[in-house]
Amino acid sequence: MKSSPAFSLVEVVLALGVAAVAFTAIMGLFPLGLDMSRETHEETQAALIAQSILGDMRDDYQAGGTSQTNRRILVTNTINLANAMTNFAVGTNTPTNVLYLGFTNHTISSANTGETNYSGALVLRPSMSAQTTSTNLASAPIWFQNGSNGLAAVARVIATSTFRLVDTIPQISSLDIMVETPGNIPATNRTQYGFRGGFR
Amino acid sequence: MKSRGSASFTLIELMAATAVLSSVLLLMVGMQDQMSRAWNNANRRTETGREARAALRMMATDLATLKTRRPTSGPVMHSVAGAVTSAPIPFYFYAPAGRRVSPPSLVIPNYQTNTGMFFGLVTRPNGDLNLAGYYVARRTTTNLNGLVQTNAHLFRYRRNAGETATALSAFFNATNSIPTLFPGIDPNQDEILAYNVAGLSILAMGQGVNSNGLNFTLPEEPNQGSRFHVTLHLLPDELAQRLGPNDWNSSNTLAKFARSYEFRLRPMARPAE
Repeated sequence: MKSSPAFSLVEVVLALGVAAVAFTAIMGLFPLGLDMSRETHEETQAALIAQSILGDMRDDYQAGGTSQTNRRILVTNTINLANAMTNFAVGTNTPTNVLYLGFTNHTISSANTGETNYSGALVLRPSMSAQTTSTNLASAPIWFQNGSNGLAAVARVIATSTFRLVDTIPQISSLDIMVETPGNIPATNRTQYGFRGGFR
Repeated sequence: MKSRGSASFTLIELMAATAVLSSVLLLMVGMQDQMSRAWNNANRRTETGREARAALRMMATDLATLKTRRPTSGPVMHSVAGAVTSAPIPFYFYAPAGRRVSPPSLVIPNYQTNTGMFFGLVTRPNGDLNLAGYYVARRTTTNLNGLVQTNAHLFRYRRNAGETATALSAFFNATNSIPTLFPGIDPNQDEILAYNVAGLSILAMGQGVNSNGLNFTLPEEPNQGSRFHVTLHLLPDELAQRLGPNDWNSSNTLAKFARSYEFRLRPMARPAE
């Protein structure tokens, strides 16, 4: 048969196929952009988390007020200094202490003292914690190893005692803070943001 | 002339093909719409994240170098409230209801109701003292097209060493009042740290104190607790333009649109023994 000036069905199907491939490729770029934006957001949050942990650690108040081998860190959904502090040993007896924190997105309730005017706002706050003296992942709590539903981020804080110049007992600690997101997937798949600070 | 059933399409075939194509296109436009919404959402998040990071970093630096003075006599613990005008504590802060230290006696033009504020002395590396402060207020601007907008922003107040000396002198020698110590607060002049701020909460957390933020302990006293808990609530720009003055702090606005960032920090470290 003589070739006609019109397209054949096969040609049209092929053309559509090519167009579809192109569209798919373009659509594929959207999640990439969104991913990068999410990453930026998480990096900001991670930096603030690290800053908070360091701020808590630098505050040397603890029960009794004389020993500086314990630091108190706030693990709570409400900002309540007196009732919800967790002691974290940074002291002299154990050279290395590891603190694990789990962060959840929490909606400020109108019942929160001091935050009444901001009820409804969504904030990221630590809701669970655990401590070990080993840096091995295997000795970390299960929710840190495998991730846990509802956790937005987790953090691992390693305090290492070292000598201090003006005293005989080692007390200055360096603090390694690793913030990992998201908190609901296993440790090996998370994005890590590392921070380092010191206190005495 | 060609016979029927040759290579060309019939009208029916074409219509069917067009129908299929349009439904596919419709689907893709729908996806595009969703994508663009997600994109906008992510953009807002990045935008507020950037603002928050810059503002909070500045505040952290200032608050970390906060200079406070131990009173020459009296109890080690002292109250910010009441005593602030009589004891030598050159800082002042106001937290929203529940931790309200005292009604804001500092008069700030266009002050945004129910937001926190903080004013204090900070040290600079060369030893100078500066006055610094943070507050949320409204500023009215007119753009090139004549559009008048009133939005709330986070402002940073700063006075250099010379002006600080004058203010301190006035504070200690003459009136002994907080407004004297922090003069000339002006949202039309002061630097904007973050745009479109729905709320700023600065909670001073003292040793064993949780109910009202009183008895905030100054960091020069050993083994005493003292932290600041700062929360910043930001709104995306496009939304902020549509908000009425009373909507900024509303629970609904905060829940739906605000992005909140918070951190804690300890003011200036205790000096070495």
